[in-house]
Amino acid sequence: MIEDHVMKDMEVTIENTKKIFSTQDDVKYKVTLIRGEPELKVVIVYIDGMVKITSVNEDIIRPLNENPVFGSVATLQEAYRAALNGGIYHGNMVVISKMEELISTLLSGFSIVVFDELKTALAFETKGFEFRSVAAGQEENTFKSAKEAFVENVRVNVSLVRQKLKTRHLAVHEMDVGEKSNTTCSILYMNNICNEEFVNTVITRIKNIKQEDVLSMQDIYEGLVEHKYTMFPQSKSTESASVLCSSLMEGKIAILMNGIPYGLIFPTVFGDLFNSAFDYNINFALASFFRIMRYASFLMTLLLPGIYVAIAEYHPEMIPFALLNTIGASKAGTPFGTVMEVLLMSFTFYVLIQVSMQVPSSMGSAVSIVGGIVLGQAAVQAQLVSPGVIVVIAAASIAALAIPNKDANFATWIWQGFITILTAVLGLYGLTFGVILLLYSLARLESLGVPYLSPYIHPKKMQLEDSLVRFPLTDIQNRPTYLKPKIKERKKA
Amino acid sequence: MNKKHIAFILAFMILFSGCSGLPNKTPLEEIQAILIVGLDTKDDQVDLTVLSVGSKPGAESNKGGESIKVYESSGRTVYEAKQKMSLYHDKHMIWAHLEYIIIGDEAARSGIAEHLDFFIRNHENRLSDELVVAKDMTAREFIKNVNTSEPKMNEKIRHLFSEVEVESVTKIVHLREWALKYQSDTMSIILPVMGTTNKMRSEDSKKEESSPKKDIRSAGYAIFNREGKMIDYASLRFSRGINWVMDKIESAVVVLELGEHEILSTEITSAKTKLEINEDATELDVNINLLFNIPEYTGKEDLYDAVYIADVKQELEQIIENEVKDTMTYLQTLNTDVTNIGDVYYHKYPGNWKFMQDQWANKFKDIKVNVVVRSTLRNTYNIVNPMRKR
Amino acid sequence: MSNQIGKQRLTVSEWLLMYAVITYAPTTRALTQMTITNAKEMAWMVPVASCIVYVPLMAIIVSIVKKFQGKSFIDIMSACFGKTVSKILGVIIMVYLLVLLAMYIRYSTDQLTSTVYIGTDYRIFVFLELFAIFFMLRGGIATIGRMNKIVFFLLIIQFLLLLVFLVKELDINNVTPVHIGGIPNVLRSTLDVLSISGYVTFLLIFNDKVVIYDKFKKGFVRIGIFMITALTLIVFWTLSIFGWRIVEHLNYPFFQVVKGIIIFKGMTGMEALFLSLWLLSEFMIICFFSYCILHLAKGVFNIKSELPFISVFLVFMFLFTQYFCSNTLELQTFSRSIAFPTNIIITIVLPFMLFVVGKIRKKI
Repeated sequence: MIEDHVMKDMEVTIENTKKIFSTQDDVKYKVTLIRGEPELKVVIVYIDGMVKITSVNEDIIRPLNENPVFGSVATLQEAYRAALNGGIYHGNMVVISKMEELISTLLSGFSIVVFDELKTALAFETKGFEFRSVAAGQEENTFKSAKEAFVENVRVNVSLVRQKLKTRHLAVHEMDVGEKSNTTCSILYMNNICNEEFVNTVITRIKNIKQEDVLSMQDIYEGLVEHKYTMFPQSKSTESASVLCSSLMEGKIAILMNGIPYGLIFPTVFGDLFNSAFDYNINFALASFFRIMRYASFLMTLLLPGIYVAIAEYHPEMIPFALLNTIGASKAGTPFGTVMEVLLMSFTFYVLIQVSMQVPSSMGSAVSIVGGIVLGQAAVQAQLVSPGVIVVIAAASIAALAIPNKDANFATWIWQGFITILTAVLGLYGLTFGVILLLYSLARLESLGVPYLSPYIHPKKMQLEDSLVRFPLTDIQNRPTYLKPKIKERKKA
Repeated sequence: MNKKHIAFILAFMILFSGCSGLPNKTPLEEIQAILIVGLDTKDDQVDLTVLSVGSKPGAESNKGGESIKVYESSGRTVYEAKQKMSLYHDKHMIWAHLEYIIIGDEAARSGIAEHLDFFIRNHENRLSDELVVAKDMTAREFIKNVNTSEPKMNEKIRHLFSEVEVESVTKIVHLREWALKYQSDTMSIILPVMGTTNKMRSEDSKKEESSPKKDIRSAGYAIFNREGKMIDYASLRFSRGINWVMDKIESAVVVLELGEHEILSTEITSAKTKLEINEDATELDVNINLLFNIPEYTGKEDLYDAVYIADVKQELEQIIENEVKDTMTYLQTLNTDVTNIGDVYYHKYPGNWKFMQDQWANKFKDIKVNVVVRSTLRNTYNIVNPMRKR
Repeated sequence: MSNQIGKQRLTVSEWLLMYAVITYAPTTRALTQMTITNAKEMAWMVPVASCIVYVPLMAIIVSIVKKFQGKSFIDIMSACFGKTVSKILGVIIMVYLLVLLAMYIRYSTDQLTSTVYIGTDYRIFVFLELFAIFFMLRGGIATIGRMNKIVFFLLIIQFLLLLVFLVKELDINNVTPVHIGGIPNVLRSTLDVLSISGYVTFLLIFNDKVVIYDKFKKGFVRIGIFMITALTLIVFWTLSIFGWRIVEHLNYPFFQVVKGIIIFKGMTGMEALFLSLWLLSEFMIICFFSYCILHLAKGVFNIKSELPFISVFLVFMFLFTQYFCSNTLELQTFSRSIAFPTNIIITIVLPFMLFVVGKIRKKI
């Protein structure tokens, strides 16, 4: 095992390389003699599987042997110079002078031509990992919109974005994160729109990520957000290139990461959680209606079980007589109190959600049968739970799924449970108390300095043209002002 | 988590460990909702009769039902009677769903103001509770002996109030309206009256033929005097007269006898009354504009004949005019201003009211009432002329 | 996070909407009742009539804000009255705010324990309110401002809904006749409205926490118009539905109005919606006054940060509230005989004096 500090001072030789990669058998060493001359010996080092072998053959070995430039070289020094000056015709060449560089380029899928005696090397990009081809997304609604979703390769992903935004203003800032994983991150933004502050903050914060391995989006996310203790997402992840593009055009900043088929969009505010790409592909009136429905569903999820508990346990005077009697009749005869029933059913629901997340899809139908019929219908028939509670819990929990953002779904469920418990103790007052706490926890959040409750708390306008409702696209003239974009209007005046 | 957080959470837990002061639970299945309360007074005692509905656990079919229960209780005050009831009631009684307060004949005659204080003050009650007087009987008799075709009496009463014929002779009076009039210097109270009838019997009660139970019917208004005590039941004709003056007629039916075998029914579909009073409060002009339809005609005249229709209109106007005039005379003899003429005067001459206020009782008696009715025929439904037109 | 709070600033709209929210609770609770004592059925005209004083008051506050951008209330007062006087005044206002805060806490818990939480220990509600306030105060003024804004929108939606549902209950006879003879009474009642709408003066206390931009005047005009409209609507609706003779007797008239709402025959229980949103506004008003007191204390005693004092202050409030008064009758008598005149002096007379003295000494 070679220590890091020793490695720094090592010379670029094959021997050293072999020492360093003593336990890595996929590192291949191909000895090549230029023109077949034994004194002109170079070694090509690459990692099997990470390089495209045809590229190594065609772009490196063939020129070394056939390019007339090498015909006249007598020494290795001359050969090196010839190669440096384009003898090996390859677009991306890196001169290696330190062992460190050799290691990092090698691990990124470069093939390295080591001039052993000169203690130097040239690296050529011959990346050729196996990656998934671009296919339709699985998780987001792509009704009437582009189906292509991001893949694991960051280059491909950036190219997907480039294909949609053919402008010189699309800035792509690349960084490697993680000491060990050296994951490539691309920070994308429109340099004529996006607020400089965002860009600087994001870059500094990503630089400050001190983790060894950055393998998931969450690693970057947690390095970037100000408030780590909140359940509500402060960034939006998307698998659709077109969603990412439209966010960039609003003045937001996106982060793509190698190995992850999602893009992270910063800053994300509360209003964004309720927007879906779907909204921009249907008539504006429908979109507005659906958005309002989503907010209603959000409130329903949060408050319905609480309201039910409050009314059934504390404030029977607040419901109409007919309803009171119906619920009362269904309630009478079951063994537990309403609070217990609601908590029990909520718990069961959480369990079901967990199960459905963990089991493979082939077993999904079995789960739904057991969950739906046994836990719902049978519980009622056995008079364990009153049907009213089942209806309330089912409606409230399902309603959360209307929120397009998955992270927000989970957060809403947790808050629902919290508010329900508060209500169980204090009645309606507990409900309000829970809402105040929720409101507080949302109000103090800031995402990259943008208040989380934007656009609803924004001073000038509520940004009503694209928040609670959506106006016809032609009438959405301004970018969100809370992002403080450099160009405020969406179109040329 | 710093020390302050922990301190606060500890305080929170200590507060809740006692739990003594926590809100009281009143679970849904353990309550009995009071829908109707009957109020009687007898020898300084308040007799309370409540009709309440609670939920009944379902059997295997999962269908629960309602259990309708009537409780009786008495005490010196309404509250005392209510408290006594808790010695034997099944479930916790709540007042929030109270719909009707039925006032017995005797209670109405001796004044109910002091007993309604509870209903206004109690936090569960709403000021939109409605008041009804039971005609010639106690509220207890009314609630116990009347067998309505509806399972719950409040539904029957509610239904009655929405019928055309009933609408023309009574109007719903909310608790807040009562309170407003009771406090007013001028206005006297009127309350809708419900009586009984044996003209209706539901199929279920056939089995018990001997049952003496009767059904509810609407019976116009009860007239109260300025002290808040009931003095008379107005006849249906006078009740409608009161509604004419108070501009509360939305629809009404007037039958005109125009000749032998010639009866024409008119259905008034909308009416608007305007009251004008002069500054000395000696003359009151009642201007009524109304629209009517003809739902039935037994004669043989040509209804296209403008002259004939003019006769019909004149007859109709005459009948209404007499109705209003007779009503006003009736009220003037009782000397009770249930039609809020004093209020009309106050709105017209607010400055003069200070001087008029004290002598209003005398003034009201002598007001000369002029009635002008203008009617317009709107339509005659499916046919115009009768089958065998002359 | 604590270093962040010092920097946090309010926007003008957040600042002004705080004023709108804090007046909601006292308005729905008491305004109608107060105005009818003199103005009777013409009470709904009182808010409009109060403009005689309200408009100059707003103008004065605008000119003060314009002159002293980024200065705290104590700074403004010491510029006009001198340092010693301003400190004394600061302490007086602080003490008064303490009393006012205790009054509001008691009122809010009192309304709960007399309407839907019969027999519940009011101290639980006091504790919970202060518990939430603890976090809100720690969150800083910007957090409070944002919460306030959301609460404001919820209140507006609720308020409009209630007004619409109640339209069919309106009785024009209860708000007429409008006659010249009643105008002196209307004018006499304007003080009642001003004791609530004058709360705008309290905004000056944390004037230094606001980012003032050039067109802030427009904001004041808008909020002024909004306030007058909202107050008129509340008084008009309550009065028109009940008539002054009933309102006179009701402890919480607007709550009773809401209780009477019946939609689609038999659909009742709107008071639940009303009550929970009203509670939200109650949280905001208590938070507002707590912040005012802390911020004022910061200015008077030259403290660097109010953060360490929050918990001490709240514990004090918890105890103070309990010994403040014993029942509703005392509370109402107190607010009528002490809080009301003091309110007028501090929120109306003080800014006028500030302005006059400032003009004489050429500071404004």
